Amino acid sequence: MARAAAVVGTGQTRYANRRDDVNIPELAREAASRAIEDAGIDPRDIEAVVIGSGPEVFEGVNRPDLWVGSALGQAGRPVTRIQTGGTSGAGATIAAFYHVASGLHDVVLAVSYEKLSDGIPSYSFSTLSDPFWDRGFSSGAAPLVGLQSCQYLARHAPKVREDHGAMVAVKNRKNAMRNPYAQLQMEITVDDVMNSSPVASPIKALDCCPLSDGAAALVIAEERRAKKMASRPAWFAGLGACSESPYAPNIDMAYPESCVRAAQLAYQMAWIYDPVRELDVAEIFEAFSFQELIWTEALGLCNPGEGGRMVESGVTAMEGEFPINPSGGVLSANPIGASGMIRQIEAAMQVMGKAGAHQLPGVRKSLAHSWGGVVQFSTVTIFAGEL
Amino acid sequence: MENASEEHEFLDSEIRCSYAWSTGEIVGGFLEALRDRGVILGAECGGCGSVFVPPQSYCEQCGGAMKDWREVGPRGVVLSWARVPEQFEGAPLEAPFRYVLVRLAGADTSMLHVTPDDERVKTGVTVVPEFKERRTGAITDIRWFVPEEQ
Amino acid sequence: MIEKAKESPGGGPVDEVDGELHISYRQPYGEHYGRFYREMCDNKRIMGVKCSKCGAVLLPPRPYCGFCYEPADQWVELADEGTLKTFTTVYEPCVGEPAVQPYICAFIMLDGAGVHFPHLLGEVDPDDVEVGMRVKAIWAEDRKGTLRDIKYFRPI
Repeated sequence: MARAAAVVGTGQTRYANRRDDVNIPELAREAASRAIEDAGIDPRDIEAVVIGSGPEVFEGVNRPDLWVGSALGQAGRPVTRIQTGGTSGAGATIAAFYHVASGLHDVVLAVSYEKLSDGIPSYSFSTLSDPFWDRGFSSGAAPLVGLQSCQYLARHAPKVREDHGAMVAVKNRKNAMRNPYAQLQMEITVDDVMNSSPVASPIKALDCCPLSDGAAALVIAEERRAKKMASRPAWFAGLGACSESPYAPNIDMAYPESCVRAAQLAYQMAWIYDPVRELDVAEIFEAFSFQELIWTEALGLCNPGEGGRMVESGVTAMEGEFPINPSGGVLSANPIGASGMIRQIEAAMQVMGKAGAHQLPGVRKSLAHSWGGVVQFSTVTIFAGEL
Repeated sequence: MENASEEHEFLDSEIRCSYAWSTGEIVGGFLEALRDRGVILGAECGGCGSVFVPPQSYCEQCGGAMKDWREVGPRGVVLSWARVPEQFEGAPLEAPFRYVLVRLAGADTSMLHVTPDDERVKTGVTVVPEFKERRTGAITDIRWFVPEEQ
Repeated sequence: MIEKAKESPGGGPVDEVDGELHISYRQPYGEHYGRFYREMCDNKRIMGVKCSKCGAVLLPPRPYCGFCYEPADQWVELADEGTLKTFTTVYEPCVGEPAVQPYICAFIMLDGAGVHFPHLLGEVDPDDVEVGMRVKAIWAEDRKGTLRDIKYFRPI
């Protein structure tokens, strides 16, 4: 049986279009130092380090773990790096959890980062697919999610409309105004989004996440240490990770099986039967606005086709019955390899009561989601305030 | 982007992407001194006193922050070397040449650089840097190290 | 904390270093992609493979069904027409992209296939494209054994 483990400290950098005051290891170290300080421990208490970051071609540094690890105290400790695109950061946390839950280590640091401004992300994206197959047509993240969003809208029209995506963009940018780390803090209207320039239909400029430089880190400890380090640790209550093939027969991007399955696994582990009642908040990896609706459905937080109603009725607003993305979400900052961990950090902070101006009242259980690859890696993490 | 060879045996493709890597203040200061003053700067750790060359903002030994710049070298000792007899793609020089690990006077770390293919370049030998005339703020502003003339 | 290095007489701070990653690759097609592209190039035929267990016709062709873990050893010719599963009209220029903007990326379910075929749409106004519409391949005259042996799909 796995040992209990909890997040006891978190750290984030300011997310920006370009951080030219730091290099990559310094960026990662900034977040790591804050997490260590937040946990109130000495860096020497860290027994192992797990690093998450996106494809090497983003920054043009091969084996970045070698360079970055030296800034994170890897000397004398085991280091692991996880790279599964958008789920890299969440995967690093999950791997760090395994280190602790297995009994191998008591205190582990997980760090994730991306410094997209060092390279040319749109070009990098074009190198990610099978060179024999869809590389020639895989023209970045927006067209891919455009295909996903179009399929979703076509299936559920007229129940789900294009302006439902715009409502997500408005909500999350507004939430971001309470988050000091967010890159895009904007008060915008549905009309602003609908009238913004077309990118890849149905996606428009304001439906898109920004490209970001940034890093995130968290410290995970076993039960006894966790209780000493934090007055209210964020306990890992459920975890689910699942993959699927991009060339599966009848693959369904509008209701991705990897996400459905990852959520089921996490709910089973956390003994959750009715997620929208038993959870208090969710942080969802919505790189593009329509994805919040798609993932909300795939996570079982509403029925298929109900995603539009969730945002339109205000259920998922900060003041709603089931807030989604109180941090402002990925639409407000997307350092890709870190974004999955940032969702977990927000979910953990909500149960720890440390989310500051975007803290929701009385959070007992929270969910963090991430996706990666060509919409076929999914992770779901559930935190609880009580063991 | 992709090109199929005649017989459909191989697919030829390439990845060609340009980068602008942020240096950060410490590496930036090192490169600036190299470019503008032709001197090599190290950074001294406030915790354990180690002098890092090239400098970095963190001490991986004691976790301390850097407290001061230290001008090091220009003389240095070769800690190890490797001769590159044949050209390879991405090589920093025309082969033959030598890779060296140099510990500059006053430094506690060694630095990877190159030397001409000079018989005298061996472990324990003292070398000095040769700077390029036109410098851009890169480690290659040091053209190479050469054995110190007696 | 370390002070800023001494002011230089030269050209200001060095806050970034430029570089490039330029790597060439030569990858073998292997038996399956080899046959697939020979058929495209020489015979204007789109071939899939059928899983011996679930019966799905897979694209791209590969020796095993990744879902059943059973051999997919039967080659099946697919129609060069099918139904539009989803599409996106791309307006923003991206480095390394395949076509002049705006262009329409599409997933097409070819008749008989169990997996979508990724390609472009042509000869159609973006406003007239609808999920579910029937489309047909327009083959290139000069074929080289890539997916570009089909110029694009156009509505029937």
